[in-house]
Amino acid sequence: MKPIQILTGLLVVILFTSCEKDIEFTGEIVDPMLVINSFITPDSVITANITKSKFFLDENDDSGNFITVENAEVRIYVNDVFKEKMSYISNGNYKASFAPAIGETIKLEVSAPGLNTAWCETKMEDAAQIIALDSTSKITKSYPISNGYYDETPASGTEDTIGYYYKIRHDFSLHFKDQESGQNYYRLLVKLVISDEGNYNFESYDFDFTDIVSGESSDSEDNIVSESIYPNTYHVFSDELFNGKEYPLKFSVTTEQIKYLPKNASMEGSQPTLKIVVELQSISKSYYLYLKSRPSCDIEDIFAEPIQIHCNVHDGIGILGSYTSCGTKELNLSF
Amino acid sequence: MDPDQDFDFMLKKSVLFFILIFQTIGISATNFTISGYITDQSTGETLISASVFDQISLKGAVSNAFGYYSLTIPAGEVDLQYSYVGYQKENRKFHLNKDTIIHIRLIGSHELKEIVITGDSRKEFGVLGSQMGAIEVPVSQIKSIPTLFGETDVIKALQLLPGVQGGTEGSAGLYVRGGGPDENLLLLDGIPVYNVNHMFGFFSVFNADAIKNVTLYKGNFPARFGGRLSSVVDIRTNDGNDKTYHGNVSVGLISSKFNLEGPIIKEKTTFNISLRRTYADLLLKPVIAYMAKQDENVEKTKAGYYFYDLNTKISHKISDKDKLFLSFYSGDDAIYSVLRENYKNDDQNTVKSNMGMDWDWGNIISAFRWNHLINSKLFMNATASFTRYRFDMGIEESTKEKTENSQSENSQYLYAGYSSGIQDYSVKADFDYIPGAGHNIKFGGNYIYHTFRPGVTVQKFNQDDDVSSRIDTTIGDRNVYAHETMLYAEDDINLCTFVKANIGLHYSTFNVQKQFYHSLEPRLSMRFLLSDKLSFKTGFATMSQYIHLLSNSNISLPTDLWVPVTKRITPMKSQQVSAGFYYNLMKYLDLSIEGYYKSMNNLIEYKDGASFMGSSTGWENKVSIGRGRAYGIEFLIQKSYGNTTGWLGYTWSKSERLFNRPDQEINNGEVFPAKYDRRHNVSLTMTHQFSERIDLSGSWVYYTGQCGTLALQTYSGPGIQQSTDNSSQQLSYISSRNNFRYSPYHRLDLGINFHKKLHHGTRTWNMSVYNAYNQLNPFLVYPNTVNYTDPKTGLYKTRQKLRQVSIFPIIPSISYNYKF
Repeated sequence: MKPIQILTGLLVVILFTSCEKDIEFTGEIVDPMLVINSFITPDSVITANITKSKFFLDENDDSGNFITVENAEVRIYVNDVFKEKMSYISNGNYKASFAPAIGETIKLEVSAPGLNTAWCETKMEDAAQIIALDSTSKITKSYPISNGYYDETPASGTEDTIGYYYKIRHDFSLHFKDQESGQNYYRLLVKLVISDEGNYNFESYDFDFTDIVSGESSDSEDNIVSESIYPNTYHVFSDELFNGKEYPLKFSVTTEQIKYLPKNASMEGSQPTLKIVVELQSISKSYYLYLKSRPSCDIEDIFAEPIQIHCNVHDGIGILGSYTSCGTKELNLSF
Repeated sequence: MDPDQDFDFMLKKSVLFFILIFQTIGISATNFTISGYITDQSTGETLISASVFDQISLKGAVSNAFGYYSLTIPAGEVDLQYSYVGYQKENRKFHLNKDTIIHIRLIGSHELKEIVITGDSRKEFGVLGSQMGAIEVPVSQIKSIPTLFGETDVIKALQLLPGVQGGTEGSAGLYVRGGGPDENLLLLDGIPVYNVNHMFGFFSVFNADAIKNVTLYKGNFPARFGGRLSSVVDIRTNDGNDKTYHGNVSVGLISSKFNLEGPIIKEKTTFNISLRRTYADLLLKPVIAYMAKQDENVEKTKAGYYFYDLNTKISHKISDKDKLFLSFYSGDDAIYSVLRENYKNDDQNTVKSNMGMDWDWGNIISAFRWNHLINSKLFMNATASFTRYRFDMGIEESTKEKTENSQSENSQYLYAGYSSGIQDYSVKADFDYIPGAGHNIKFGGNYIYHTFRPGVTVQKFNQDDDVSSRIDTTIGDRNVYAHETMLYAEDDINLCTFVKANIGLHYSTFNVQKQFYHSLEPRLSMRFLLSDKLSFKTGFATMSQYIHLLSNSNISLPTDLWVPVTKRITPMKSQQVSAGFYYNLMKYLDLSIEGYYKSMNNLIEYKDGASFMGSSTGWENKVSIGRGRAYGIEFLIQKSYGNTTGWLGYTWSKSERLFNRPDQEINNGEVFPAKYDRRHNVSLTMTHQFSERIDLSGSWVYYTGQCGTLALQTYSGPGIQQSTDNSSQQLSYISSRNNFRYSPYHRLDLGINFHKKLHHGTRTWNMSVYNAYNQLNPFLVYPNTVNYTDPKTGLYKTRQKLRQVSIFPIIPSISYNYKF
């Protein structure tokens, strides 16, 4: 073989060698850290779950379980004064003997053999004042039903029609008075309870947070380009736009209903009752940032910066969040 | 005193100082002015920044961007020396007793058979000049640097300078002193170029054959420049030879170039035309045609990618006082494909289908210039210009199905298109006023009418001419119009023999969608001459920027979109101070060491998880506003004369960002390194001429690895009440943004030129190797999950491994050049 042929062959091999390869991690290998997860509220005694983190290159089994820390010392401080040590229950869960009060600063300090001591703290937020819950309902879509099937083509409503299927949007306005002091953060929880005279009871947490404070992109229906911003899965918001004022918070729930024509009234069974249960929570800033950042970790976009889920644990990982219920409102839905 | 008051106070002081400086300008009755143009002897090209120095009065001046100089000195005997890098000095001795015009033609080194690359201590940027943070890179040097696929590239040559980085591997991006890629003002003959990239950022749009001069300003910006935070790249193109016709033909691995210049009317009207085009699509054409022939269903097919650049310039000398220039640049990238088929389907119906795709993006720049000598001390350059970047994309598909028996026909037509861009109409007037030796005043104004064309999508659908199914929609934002004005004045002033200063003010306004912004920016640069060969320089500059480039983070795509500031996203601002020593050693080596500190305000950064892919809608919600700072030390040693020339540059730098405004937090509101924060940056560029026939060049670069964000831990996340995530789940923990460093980047490029004089010109064979030792540098690093079953336990397991993507291994190239 001539040298030129060897050289050509060598060049071809080099040029077409895969430019993708596994590499060694040359950064600092981080030791496991304490993970503290706790959400506290004035209504309940304090609990916390303590586990250990894993280095990202370590092997995982398919259980997704993490090593729980059963021999940790979990000390609670209230307003910087030591209160008590939490007791171990099971599965990494620890429990205190008391519930925190509004206005208190709760600090957890966790130490365990072989791990750095970690700590975190949060302030118990005061509740905002709920004033009223208003609602309006309207049919957004209706389709004729024939022989048990509904047809989305309106023109097909003929003598075969036995009834109508409706989509009903219930728009709500939750009036509440924001707290005067500082910046406040909230979470809206909406539960739709469907019950059928004791036959079944179904709960749904699905609703549309249509208010401007939700921060959801207005172009979410734009299917031309890919957009990736924070989805507000947990319906949190701040008082940036209404600080210290009364605010009507808007959201909506869509329900479905079938109404048969009078001639087919016999087909109509008992109608389930629909009830909406609305709760507003005052939440700590850390809890707000955590709930805002956590849903986005599922986004896979190679052009985007990876999501940094908010943590407020020093020398460790996790979240100590606090929330205070501002009250609950219930409304029966009818149409 | 709060920062705003402090700033106002500083501005007032600057204005007062500036007025005082103007008041000191007195013109002695016994002074006379010598003025004229300095040009190349053989080509007639004007020489920018050439020196004229009277060795009796020890007064001097430099030519401006159009080769014009003016020197006012006392009456009596004068001994003028004209000099320019790589040119033979010219002397004129005479008795000065009236204003005198002297046009000088200097003899170039190519005629002297001597390679002289750079270095002139009297120049604006040398030991004696007041300007700092600026480097002029001769085009001859740019052409000699070996590059990717042998394509000469102005931007990639600039990346080898201290304080400048190029972003990801192979890209023609510019990151200057910790700034972003959209913070550079790239001027082609004074007109902004909005998209400087071809082929997704791997090549720049500047064809070196058309270029006369390239100057990079990294700090201490003269007041005549404004509108970007981090750098100004001032590129001037050739006017054309005014005596004889010359040209250049070059055939390379991926493109060919052609350049022709000469007189239309000898020594009066000249032209210069340069064309570059890639031809991969042309070479592949017969291959695609052959493949199409193998498939009997295919009627026609074509596909390809190319880019081209066309630079043309016509200059006309009306008189010694008036010159006109008309210049035009057009550059495009295009991807296209067509597939036309005619076949019988399973039902034996005849189907005709046509699919086409056409993507085009590029710039058009045109300018009309008028140079007018109002008097020997006052020079005017008036320009009217148009610049446009546009991206158009269209995908079309149509099918027709004909039933043979019934002769009925079914048809379907689908079209999707997208377009975006920016265009400016601009008028400006720049004046050079040289009242006397010791002052060089520049002042002027500029008005720009911007039209921002945000992404607009068009969809069309038609089936069997059925009106009910027809779609014809256009989605997108309306054009946004903005008015930008700039006024400036600066004086390059000799305060005394040892102290020289460049003092200036730049004022700009920006009016968009009922928002009005303005900015007054003081600029100061001072030189203290410590000896003939050593000077200390220091300076201060503030800059503001009214436009942002929306792009994804890694590569340049044609969908990158310029958008103006808004009510919420206010203009970016920067303040930069710098200081350094300049030393000239034995006339051969220029050494400089320069430190800088730059603070930046109202920077934007994508929020976690946000990215941009072509639509400007809602972009304000995807970005956070914050600030940044960058500081560093740059060292440069340059050998300018002799057979061996080149430079060694080293930069130590740090660039950080802080986004801690309420609800704008990134990285928990804590400081994090900027994406292209690199601590060490070394570049060595050398050219050696062995003989008239052979010269060798090489460049070696080393950078600290770029930053990336990597989750180094996984942990258990709690369940959330009243949600679908009501049980614990595995989460990734990212300690901070850009917490991981890629492995260091280093690369050696080599090139060799074989020249031979032929009957009508000179031919050159160039052979070059990019990445000579085949270093697989990281382009992207990501964690890759590997699933496997443990052979011992039979359990299903996963493990992550780091995977590195590299894009350019060793790449040899060859080109042929014939210059006549």
